[in-house]
Amino acid sequence: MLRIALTRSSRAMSSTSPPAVSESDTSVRKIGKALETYLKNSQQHVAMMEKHRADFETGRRHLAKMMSLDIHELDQAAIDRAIQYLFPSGLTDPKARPVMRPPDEILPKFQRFTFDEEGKPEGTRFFTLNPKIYGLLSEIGVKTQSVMKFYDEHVGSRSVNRSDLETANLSGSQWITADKMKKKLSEKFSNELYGQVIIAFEHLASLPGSAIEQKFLSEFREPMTASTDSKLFGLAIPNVQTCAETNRRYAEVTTHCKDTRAVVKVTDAGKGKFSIDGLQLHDFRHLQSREILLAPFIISQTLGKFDVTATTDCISNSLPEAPNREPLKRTGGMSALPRAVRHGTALCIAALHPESIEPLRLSGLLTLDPRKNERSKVNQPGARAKWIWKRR
Amino acid sequence: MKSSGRVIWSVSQTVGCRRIGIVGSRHLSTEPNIQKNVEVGTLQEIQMSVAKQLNMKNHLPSPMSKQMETLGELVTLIRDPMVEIASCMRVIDKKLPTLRLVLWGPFGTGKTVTLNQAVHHAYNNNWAIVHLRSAMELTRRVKEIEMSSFVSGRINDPSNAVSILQNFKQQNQHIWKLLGDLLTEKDYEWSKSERTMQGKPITEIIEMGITAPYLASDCVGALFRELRRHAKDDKLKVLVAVDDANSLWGKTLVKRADRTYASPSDLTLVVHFRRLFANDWTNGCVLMVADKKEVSDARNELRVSRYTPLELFGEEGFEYVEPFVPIETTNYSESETDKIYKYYVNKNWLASKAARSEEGRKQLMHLSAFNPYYYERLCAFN
Repeated sequence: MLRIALTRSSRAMSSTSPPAVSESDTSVRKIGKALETYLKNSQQHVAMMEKHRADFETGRRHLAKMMSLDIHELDQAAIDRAIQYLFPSGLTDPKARPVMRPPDEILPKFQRFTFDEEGKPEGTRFFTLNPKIYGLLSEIGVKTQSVMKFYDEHVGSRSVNRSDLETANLSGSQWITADKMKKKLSEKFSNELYGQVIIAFEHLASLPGSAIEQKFLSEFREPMTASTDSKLFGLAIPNVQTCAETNRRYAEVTTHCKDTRAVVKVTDAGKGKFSIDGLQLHDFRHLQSREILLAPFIISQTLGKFDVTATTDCISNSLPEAPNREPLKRTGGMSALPRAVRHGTALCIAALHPESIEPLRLSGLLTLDPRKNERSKVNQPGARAKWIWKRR
Repeated sequence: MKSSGRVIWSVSQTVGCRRIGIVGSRHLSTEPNIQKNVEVGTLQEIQMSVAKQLNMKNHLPSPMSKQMETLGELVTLIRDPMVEIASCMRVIDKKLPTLRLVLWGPFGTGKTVTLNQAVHHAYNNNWAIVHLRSAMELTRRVKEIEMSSFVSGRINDPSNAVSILQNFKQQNQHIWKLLGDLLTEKDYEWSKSERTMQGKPITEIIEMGITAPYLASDCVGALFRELRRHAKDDKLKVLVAVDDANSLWGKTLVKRADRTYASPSDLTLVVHFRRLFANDWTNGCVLMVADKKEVSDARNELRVSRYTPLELFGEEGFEYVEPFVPIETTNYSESETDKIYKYYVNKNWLASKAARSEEGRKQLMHLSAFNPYYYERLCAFN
C-alpha cells in the first residue's frame, strides 16, 4: 500500500517523467534522493519490526516454559514479574533495569510522512523533512512582518490602543525547552533549528507592537519558577479530599522508606490519634519511634489536631520468590516504619495545612529518602564484604 | 458469686462517677484519714515513714522508687481504678466471700502503682496485708530449692519464703499487737524438735519461719491458713495484693531431679498463694495484677503482646480465679497529665525553660503518648 502510494506521489512530483513508465523500478530510481532514502528506511524499519515481533513471541514462549506457566497466562504483568525474578537489579533508575516488552512499545518510532487521498504528501514543506518546525519559523516570519507593518501604520495615531504599540509582556516566563517544543510539535529536529526558532522568537518579541501577538508568544513560554511540588524530591503534595460521611478533610499518600511501604491517611479536625496497623502511639515502646512519628506535628505546631491512619507492609514480601522457597514475612523496624509513616504524614499535613509547607520543607520532612539496602553479591558474604583470603 | 461480683462492679462505677463531679482544683491530701475516702484526681502523699514501713522502695516500679528518693516524698495520683478498688474494699464484710479483683491494662498504665495505693489504703484501714512484689519471683527467681518433707514431690523455696515472712512482718507492724492476740488453731509439728503448740500467737509462726529457713515454706502455709481462719471469724480483714499474679499459672525455671522443669503447682509457695486466691474464705480482698511480662519476650522490642486477663492467666488460671471484678487501667487523660505536670513544675523537677513553656507541656504529653510510665521517664531526663 505504502509503496503504491509512494510511486504515485513520485509520479506526481516528477512531471518530466514519461507516463508510460509507471509500476516499474525505473520510476523509483527517478524520484528525489530524499524520498529514496525515506523509502529505504521505511522498508528496513518494517522488516526490523517484523523480526523483533517474532523474536518477542519466541522469547515469550521460552519464558513461559522457564516459569512453568501456560503461554496464555503469561500476560505483560507476569512477564514483568518473571524478569524481575530472573534478573534482579538494584539499580535505582527504573529505565536502567532489564525489561521485556513488545517491540512496538519500546523501540523508537519511525516518523512517517502523511499522504492525502491522491497520494500527494500532505503540506507543502514535506521536502524539508521537518515540516512543522519550518512551518513555525515561517509563521514567525509572517507575524514579524505584520507586527512591523502594524507599528509603522499606527505609530503616533490615536486609532489604536496605546498598549498595543508596546512590546509583549514576557516577564516571569521563559521559552519552552527543546524537548517540550519537540513534544508540542510532535516532531524531531536538531538543536540548531531550535536555536534559530528561539532567535526568531526573540526578534519578534523585541519589536515594538509585538503586544498584538502576545497570545501567540505565550503559547511557547512557560513560567520561570516551578511550583513547590516540582521542588520536592520524591512524591508531590497530595490533593485534599473530603470524606462524604463525616465531612472532614483528609489527604492520603503512599510512600516508602527502605523496605517499608506505608499508606498514610491524615484526617483534619482530629485528636492526635494514631492507628498504624491497628497499633496506637503508646504501643511504640521506643522514644525514638514516637519522636519520629510526631516530628511533622511538632514542626508544624499542630500537635493533637490531626488523626493519622496508616497501613504498612514490606516491599520485599511482595517480590516473586522461587517456588521451592517460603515467601518472606518481614515487618518494618523500629525506625524505618515510623520514618515511612513520617514522610506520608508530613506530605498530608502540607496538603491540609499549607502554612506549614515551608517549615516542613526546610526540615527535610517532605523529601523522600531513596536509600535502600544494597543487594549482596554472588560469591561474597555481603554487599561489600569479601571472604577472608587465605594462602593454601 | 458471679452475680454479687456484678453488683459490686456497678456500685463501684456509680461511686467513681460521683467522685469525678466533686473534684475541682488540685489539692494535696497529706493527712491519712481512715474515714475519708479516696477521691479521684487528687494527688495523694504517702508519708515517708509509712512508705518505709510498707517497703514501697522495693514494691514500687524502680523509676517510681528512684523518684521517691530524689524528691524525698511519695506523691501519687488517685485515678479511677484506685477508686473502684476502694469502693470494693468498703463493701467487704464477714458474710461476703473474698472479693477477687484483677487489675489489667497496657504496659505502664499504673497497675503496680495502683496496687501499692491499695496496700496503703489497707494500711490506713488497719487491715492485714499480704503483699507479694512479683509472683514471678516464686517461679523464675528461685535461688535454692529443697524437697518438701510435708508433701512428697513438692519443692520448697526457703529464701523466698523467708523474705515473704519478713515482708509480712514489716508491713503489718501497725497491727502487730492484734496479730499477737490471735491464737493458733492446732499443733504444728515443723520437725522432730520444732513445734508450735495450739493456743500460741500466730506471730510465733512468723518468728519460727524467719529463724529457721528450712521450715519457712511450711510456716508461710500455716500463717496463711491461720489468717484465713481468723478473717472468717471477723477478727481482722485481709488484703492479698499480688503483682504479676498470672505468673502463678505460667512457666517456671525450677528444675526437678530429672532435669525437667517443674510445673508451678509443684512449688510450695505457689500452692499457698493459690489457696489464698480461692474464695472459700470471707472478709478478705484479693487484688491481682495481670501483667504481660509473663508471656512477652523481653528481647523482642517490636512485638506488642496482648494484655487481657484471659490471655495472661491462661485457661487454667482463668477458671481458677473466674468470678472476679476486672479493673482496667488506662493511659492518662489530658487533665491527668496536667496535674502531674503542675506537680513536677512545682517541685522544680521540670527545671528547663523549654519544659516549662506551653509548647513543652504539649510535647511532653504527646511524646509520652499519654502513658504514665513514658511520661515519668520523659520528665526525668528533660
